[in-house]
Amino acid sequence: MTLTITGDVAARPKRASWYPYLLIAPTMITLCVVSLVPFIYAVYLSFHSAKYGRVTDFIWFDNYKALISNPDFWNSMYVAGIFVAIAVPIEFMLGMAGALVLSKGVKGRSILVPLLFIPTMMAPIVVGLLWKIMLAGSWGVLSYNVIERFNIVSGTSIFASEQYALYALIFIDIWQWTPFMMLAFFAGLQALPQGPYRAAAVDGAGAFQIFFRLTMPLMAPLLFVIGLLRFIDAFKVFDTIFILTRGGPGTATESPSLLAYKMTFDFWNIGEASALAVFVWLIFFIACNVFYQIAKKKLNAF
Amino acid sequence: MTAMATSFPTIDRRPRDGLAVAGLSKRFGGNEVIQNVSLAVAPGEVLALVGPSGAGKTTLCRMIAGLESPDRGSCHLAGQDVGAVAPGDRRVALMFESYALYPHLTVRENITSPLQARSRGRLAEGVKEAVDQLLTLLEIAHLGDRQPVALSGGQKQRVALARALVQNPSALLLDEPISHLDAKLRHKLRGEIRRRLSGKDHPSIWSTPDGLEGLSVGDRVAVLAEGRIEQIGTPEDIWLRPASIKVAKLFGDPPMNVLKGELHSQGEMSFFRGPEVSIELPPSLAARAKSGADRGVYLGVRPGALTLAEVGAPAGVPAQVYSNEAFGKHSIVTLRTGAGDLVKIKQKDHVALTLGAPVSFLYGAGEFFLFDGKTGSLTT
Repeated sequence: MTLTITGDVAARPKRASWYPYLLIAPTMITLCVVSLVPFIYAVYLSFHSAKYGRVTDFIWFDNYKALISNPDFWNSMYVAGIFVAIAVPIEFMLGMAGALVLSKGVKGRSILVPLLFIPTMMAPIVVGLLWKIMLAGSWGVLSYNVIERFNIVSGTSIFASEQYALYALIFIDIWQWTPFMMLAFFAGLQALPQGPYRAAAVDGAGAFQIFFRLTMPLMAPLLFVIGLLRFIDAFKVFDTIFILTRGGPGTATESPSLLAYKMTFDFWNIGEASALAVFVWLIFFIACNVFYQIAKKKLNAF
Repeated sequence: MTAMATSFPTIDRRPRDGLAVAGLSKRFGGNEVIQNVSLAVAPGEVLALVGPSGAGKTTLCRMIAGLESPDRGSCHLAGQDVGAVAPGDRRVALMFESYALYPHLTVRENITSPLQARSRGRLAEGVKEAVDQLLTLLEIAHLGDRQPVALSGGQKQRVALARALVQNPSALLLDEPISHLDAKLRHKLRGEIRRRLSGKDHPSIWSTPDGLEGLSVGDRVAVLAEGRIEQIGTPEDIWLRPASIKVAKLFGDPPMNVLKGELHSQGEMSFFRGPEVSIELPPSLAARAKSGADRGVYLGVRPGALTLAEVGAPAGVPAQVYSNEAFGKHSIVTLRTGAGDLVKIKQKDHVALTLGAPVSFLYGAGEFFLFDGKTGSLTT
């Protein structure tokens, strides 16, 4: 009797060793085909001379060397840096403020919430076209009524201003993504346990104490995940810039994604474009890991 | 201040610095969960608030703490009407039945959090020692740096208890403070916490569904049932003179047996006639039988006052064995009478009995309680 049981127990792990892999196989195969293989091919290309559609010599790090000495590359990093550094924190703060207002029970919330989702639901191309019209030189609604009236940029679209075009794009990104942040944080607030808030009320904690010492720590995991997603998304922004400025005027709004597009499809320098893609991937890889470690230690998230 | 019910003598004794609620009522939807509750607790006094689950104990505590606003009635703390005072300014320490620990703080930080909230982050001298002492008392000293997620239910309950005990509040409200602890720790903490509270100068309320726990920790005991105060009194009062069947059934292990029947008198003697049983009543209970008042009554008799007997014993009530629990120190036998009632008998020794076997049992001579057949309140 005992022997039979031992036999059964011994047999089970054998099946267990390949069974889980079978279950995740469809996802893993799909992931490999659509994501890992192209990525590895990009790494392969980045070590080869690949111009005008012909992959030729293996040239070690020459593509990377060319990239690092290319001022357009550093310009694109600067553009993305400014874009992320301004857009993401503002989206965060506005989103959190909006979420707190929503969770306090605003009248007509059930109508407001779907309306708020509209900017986020729109295809980025549509967002671009919409703002192209709104901010068109002299006759655009905002151009005519605000920008020209206060003499910020006159005679032409703000997108033609080397000084302000990037900020206009940042403004549009904030417009597009703040509602998403607001709703994500609102959902997070709704899911928080009520008990600690009651305890805080009885303990006599003030509104600031409750927000900074209770709400923020409890929300930390959500804030971290949303923050990371927005950081990655904002860094590789492409669609709205492509439709509105194409990276111009000059290279004033040329993000890494746009630069890679231009390198590939305008200059057909596929090797260097691949090097750029790999470089950007490395930045994300390092940044996400640093983020993750900080979150794990300081925020007690995860 | 509305006019208040005067059926309980304790209301009039409203201490200047204690806790007093008067005529408190609260309705949730169609349910009146608290109905005209009045009680007072003196400084240093522990009031045990006993009631079955759903009786409104938690709602009452939350109203005193200010988390719920009453529909009617008033609440005084330290001589001040706190009806319009925010929860944080009442300086009440409330231990939540659901613990309500801060999930992102360690055990130690959780315990000092109320002090920190009031002192804007700075802790007074001696707080660390006080916390250490509490942690040791509650046997969670080794858990000081853990977060609540890594604790069991009983450990969380002790952290919540420590968080309430570390404060120096205007009133301490413990909502089922030791319900999830093991028996050994419950025994220890009942005495220890009671001792601690008696030395304090604030009033305390200790809510519990366990009648015996209430009797052991309360200077006085308030019995709450279906949102109403059934009785307030000393533990002796409650035990010896339970005001109603509801009260009687809450106190006792196991609860009192209650039979429906009628009173009869025959010459000098008075009898209780229930289903297949006629019991002679002691002279102390005979007055009602002779008074000619409504004869329908309930007879209450504690399980300890009944004895098992052989089948066919004189004056024995025939019954069948329904269940038999051996506790070691005593045993509890449940019998089903011919009328289908379940009667519990508590006896010293454990006797092996076959389930369903016919036996009989005897009513002892004394220790009967008579309750009115309509209102269920104690008659004398």
